[in-house]
Amino acid sequence: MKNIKYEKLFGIVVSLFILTFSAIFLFSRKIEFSENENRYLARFPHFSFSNLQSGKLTEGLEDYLADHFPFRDFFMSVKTKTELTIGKEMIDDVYIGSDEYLIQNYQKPENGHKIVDVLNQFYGDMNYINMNLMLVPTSITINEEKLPSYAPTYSQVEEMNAIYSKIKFDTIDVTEALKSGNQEYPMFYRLDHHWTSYGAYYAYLEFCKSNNITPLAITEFDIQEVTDNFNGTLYSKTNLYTLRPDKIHIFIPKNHHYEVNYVFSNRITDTLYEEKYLDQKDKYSYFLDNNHPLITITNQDIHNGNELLIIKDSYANSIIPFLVNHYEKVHVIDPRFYKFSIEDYLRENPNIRDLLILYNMNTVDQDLGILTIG
Amino acid sequence: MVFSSIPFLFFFFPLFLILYYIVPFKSYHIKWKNVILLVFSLFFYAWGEPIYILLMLFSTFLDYNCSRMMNRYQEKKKRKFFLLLSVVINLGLLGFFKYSDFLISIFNNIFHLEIPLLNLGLPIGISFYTFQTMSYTIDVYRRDVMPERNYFTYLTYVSMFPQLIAGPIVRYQTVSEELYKRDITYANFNSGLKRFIQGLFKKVLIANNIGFLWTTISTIPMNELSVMTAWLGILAFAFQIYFDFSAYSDMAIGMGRMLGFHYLENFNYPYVSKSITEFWRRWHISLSTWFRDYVYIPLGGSRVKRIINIRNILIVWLLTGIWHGAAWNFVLWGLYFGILLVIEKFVLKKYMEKWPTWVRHLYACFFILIGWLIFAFDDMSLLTSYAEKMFGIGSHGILDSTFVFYLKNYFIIILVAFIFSIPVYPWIKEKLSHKKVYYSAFGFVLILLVYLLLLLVVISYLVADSYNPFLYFRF
Repeated sequence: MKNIKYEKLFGIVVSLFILTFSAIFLFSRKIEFSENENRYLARFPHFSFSNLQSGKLTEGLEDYLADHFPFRDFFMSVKTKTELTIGKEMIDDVYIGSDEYLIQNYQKPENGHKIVDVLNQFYGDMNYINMNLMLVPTSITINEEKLPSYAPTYSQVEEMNAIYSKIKFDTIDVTEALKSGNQEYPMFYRLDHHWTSYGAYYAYLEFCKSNNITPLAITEFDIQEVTDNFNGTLYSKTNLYTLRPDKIHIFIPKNHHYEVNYVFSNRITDTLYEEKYLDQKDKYSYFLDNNHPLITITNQDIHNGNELLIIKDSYANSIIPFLVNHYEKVHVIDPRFYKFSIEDYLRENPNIRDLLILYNMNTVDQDLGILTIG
Repeated sequence: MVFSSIPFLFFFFPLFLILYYIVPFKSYHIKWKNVILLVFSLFFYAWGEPIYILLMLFSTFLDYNCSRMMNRYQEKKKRKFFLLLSVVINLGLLGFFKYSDFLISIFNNIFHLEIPLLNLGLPIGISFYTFQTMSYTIDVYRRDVMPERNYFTYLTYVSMFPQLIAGPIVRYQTVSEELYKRDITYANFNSGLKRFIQGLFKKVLIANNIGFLWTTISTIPMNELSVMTAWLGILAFAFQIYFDFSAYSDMAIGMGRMLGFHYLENFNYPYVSKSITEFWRRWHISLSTWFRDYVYIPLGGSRVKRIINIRNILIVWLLTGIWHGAAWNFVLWGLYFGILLVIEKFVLKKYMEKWPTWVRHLYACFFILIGWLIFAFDDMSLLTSYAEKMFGIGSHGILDSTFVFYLKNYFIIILVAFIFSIPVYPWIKEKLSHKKVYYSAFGFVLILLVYLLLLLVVISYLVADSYNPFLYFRF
């Protein structure tokens, strides 16, 4: 084939294209924290012989390069757009549902029997306590009709029933409550894996029913929208920048004088909400300041001597604002971070007579913080 | 380091190319371009294997000296001694690192022992470079090539990063002249660059995408697999392994071209084959010709009694199977193809010629897919269980919603994979080359934009840290 005059340009243009990125990378300022992905980016790896030998050094360098690559957010969205264009309906284990819903996949559960064993053992040791287990189905169950057609899913309800049938203490099934509530209010955020305050409210009603507590009616709350710009974890995972953000609502009761003690941080506040997160990406942390090993909440308007312990994942942060209306003191333990014996804690706090174990169906099988309870 | 990675694309390779093009080919008796190539190749290897690089240095040093010795002595006995020395040590090293655990477990099984496994990591690319160095010593013994005088030139040949870790298996005679004198031209640079980008596209956008489908399907519990899902999974694996492997060859050939080397083609649209015999002429050509020239023909090839010929074919395919990995399924995989080839050669051949073309394609595709099924599972019980599902034994029906979901999610990728599995691209290129517009500024800009767009999407997948496996860790 005869040589053509433009051919020369090909190599030059492509080389310049590549070298531009190399140069921008070398001379750009590196950020430490990605707001969009809500995580710290990889740091430049530490050089040592053992790191080199084990391959950690080169792995670390590769992570560093990928994390700090120029226009990272732009490239992530190019990837997402490509995936959507070629017909993918699931990105990074998140289904792209209808009505702008992103729905986290539910992996085949594997730890059901272990969880049952640990919880029953725990109950055996502490059976003077009124113990409740609430496993919350996630958006994939409640918003099932919004999934792409034919999406292969495992049933959270079946798994929950399998666990409940073997648990020796009280269990609370909120599936139907959430499904019917979902007709009126969104029970789940569209772009985040958590439930909304509405979802938590409907679950709170079920908790009250099961424990003979008279719940506060929805009309007794002042419902406030605190942000209309919440782009949650599922948004970050998929990088679908065109979806409209979620709103966060909170329910404020008439009486709300609290002393909130973040025990291991030596910090005491008078609110369940942390304003500063509303300006950040991670807005769900507005509820009770993200994850803490131990929080105690004293309701200064109540003097009934009742105390509740909640063992939980981050879903509980939305339901606690309802539960605090019925207890003088609520203790909140996240066993993923609380490294002491919970049984000892109960012995040291003999006023605790009610206990709620609250997990969503995804984390209960995957984070396994629950297994350290015993 | 793999080619489809950010460190390679944006730092290693550009820096290498700049230096490679700046230095003179030769001055003061030093071949500077080779020096740059060697230094970067060693760094490239050490990036993933900082310790095992010593093994490669030892191996090449041994072969270099054995070949020198063969050249010095003319008596056949002495020459044979040095050949055997080289072959035995090379195969010994390969065998030790690759097969010792497999042999120990067989031994344990037979004698009910519990000898602990060594759990050695397999040095990357050892199967490739061992075969390269062996071809060299054998060729020197046969006086097909003159031995290399300079150790570093020889080391440059073996360690050249474009083809070091995943082939093609480049023989010394292919590049021996180019190690001393090669055309480093703009035309070569451009055509090599295009080939390289094509390889990147095949690896990152086709192979990784469809490979993820296979990974997903292979983790579905066996009792939930429908017949169609099982077949979809194997089809995905077949596409993944072809696009991944041939992409590495494309990138190697492309980079070689950019440096002035001309490696031989390694794949020639294997899935358009009309028989298994044809498939193996089109698949991993550098490996099958290696076995043909260094095992099959020395054993007598086909110019022997039929029974010996059959033996030869089975030996070659048994070895081909074992070369791919130390597990029973690879043994089975090799023998499976050996037996198919024997049947084709001695029984089917005369009938097959009368079959309609589409029947021959269907026949070849079916047996190729069954081959990949054997290749995909190194656990025999999983293999049989998966095979049962493909033929409806204990499967979750013929067709289920899982299948429909994955088919619609991957339909376009499968279509693209299919199109690039048949020679559509060369056909289009040929058609275009007769058109004037192809040579116009407009045509040039259009082609340039297509390549830049492909690069952009490839980069986005790499930055997003998507699924990007390296499949040849056990070769």
